Amino acid sequence: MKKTKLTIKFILLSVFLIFLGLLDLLSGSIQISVSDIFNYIFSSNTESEFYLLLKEFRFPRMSMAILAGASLSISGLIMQTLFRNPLAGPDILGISSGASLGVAIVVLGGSYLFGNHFYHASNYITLIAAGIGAASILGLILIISYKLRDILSILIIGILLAGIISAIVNILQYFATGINVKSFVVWTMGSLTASSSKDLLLASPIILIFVLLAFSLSKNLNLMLLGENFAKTMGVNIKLLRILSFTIVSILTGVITVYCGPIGFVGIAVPHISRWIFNTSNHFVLIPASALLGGIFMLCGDILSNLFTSNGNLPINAITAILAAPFIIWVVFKNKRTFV
Amino acid sequence: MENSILNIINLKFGYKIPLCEQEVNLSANIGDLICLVGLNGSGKSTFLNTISGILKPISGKIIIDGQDVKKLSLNNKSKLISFVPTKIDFTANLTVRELAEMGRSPYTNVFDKKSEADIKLVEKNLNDFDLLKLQNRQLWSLSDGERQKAMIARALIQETPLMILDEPSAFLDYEMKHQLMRKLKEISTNKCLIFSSHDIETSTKFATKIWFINKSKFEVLSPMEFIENHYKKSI
Repeated sequence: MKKTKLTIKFILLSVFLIFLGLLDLLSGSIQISVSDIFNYIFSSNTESEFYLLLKEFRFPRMSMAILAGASLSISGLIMQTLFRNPLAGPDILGISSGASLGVAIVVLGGSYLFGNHFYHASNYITLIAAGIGAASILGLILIISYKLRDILSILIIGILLAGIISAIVNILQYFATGINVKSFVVWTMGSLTASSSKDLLLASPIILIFVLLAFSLSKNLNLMLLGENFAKTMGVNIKLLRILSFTIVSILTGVITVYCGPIGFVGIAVPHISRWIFNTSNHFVLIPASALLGGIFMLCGDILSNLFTSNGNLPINAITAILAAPFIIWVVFKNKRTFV
Repeated sequence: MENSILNIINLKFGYKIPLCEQEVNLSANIGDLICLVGLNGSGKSTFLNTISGILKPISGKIIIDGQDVKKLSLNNKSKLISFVPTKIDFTANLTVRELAEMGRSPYTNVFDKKSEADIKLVEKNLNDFDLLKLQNRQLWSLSDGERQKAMIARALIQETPLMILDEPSAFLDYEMKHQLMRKLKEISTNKCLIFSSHDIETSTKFATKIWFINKSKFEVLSPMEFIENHYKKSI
């Protein structure tokens, strides 16, 4: 009885995800029809009119939306459980800001050193810089989490690190040229359109592997629900779990930030939506649920961002904030007692 | 000493500074229902946390079922000791059933696959505690008494020879307290139970032994001795 209800919810969400995926492929400044999409998927005709548009723009954009939603939501879920804090998310640990720092150094610092030269935020040097930035903040957090027993202190240090980084970024912005500042600011607004089909080929296996790794931590994360001391007496190796979780979170968040910019709020809001829909804190359910709902959430955001402008789309970061924040407020009001 | 399930040898415990000046040497057997007594701040919880592996001892050895705890993996340790904390914040959406099933986690694989025997054991223990009809209720929606029963049922499902309870009766009314103590007495026939309590009158009625932390020294007493020599003098 309980199991069938669960299966039905998962099937319904999957169908909804596929539907939104198709809708997302349709949306954009160039009008295409459903039959064009089916032609693209089911026939290998490379000559067709919209082949290039679908292969190089729409399809990567849709896939990136799903991958970003899933990665950020799972990261947020893991952080919330580990910190036992409903407002924890991948942005809190300073990992997103670490990636931003990497990009800022290349885009803004580059302009300071080499003059008024345009550094686009999505070329490979900036991608690598963002990766290094995210990884070094992760390394720092890992060292701190090994030294400190108290998880709340780690959270506070994460927030402070993010503060320091944003100050450095501000200084870099102050000295950089206008065009590079604009290029950086546009990157921070987030974009799903910057990635090509080649990027997708690289990003999706990494994300898939780490999502599966996250799922394999479910049992231990469940035991963490009643606190670290309790988990310890149940045989959970807390330090190892922290190291594994932080690695998974930084890689998932890092990869997405590299390709899409620092996308906020999704990681905080979607785990709450999953808990509410499935009425459980069981990670064996919540991890796949957050992946599905994260994908749905980002697709909604992307479709909306394409709706209002005829040329190009609105920055995705603004849309996700507007969509997610009311959700967080609503969930907090609705479930006064249960947060994590 | 041979058949003792718990041997504590030259133990010093505390946070960096030992709480007891003297090294602690104690042992406990199957069938023991030991009540740990001491004034506030005497280190009862710290002591229990040390035995159950939450805190590392400053020095000395803890031997459970003939095995040095230090050399055991965390998972194997959780097959020997179960722990019932005083109070847990149930901020999670966890049902009684899910909590009870957690008791099997030292024995299940990464995907927490439970065997039929596991499920039978869970249901038997829930039934023993009258929790079967509450099994799909969220933990936060239960009363303190029901929640404590669920926590103890979970510890039993963990099937460990040693069970440690930190003030299990702290939030219970007098009727629940007696009910709980009778249950603990029943459980202790084939286990070793150590619990801390401030409720001397109820505890001494049921406990087989008293471990008394007296001015940073451990004393092992029978319930009668404790009442005659210490309790009556102080009230």
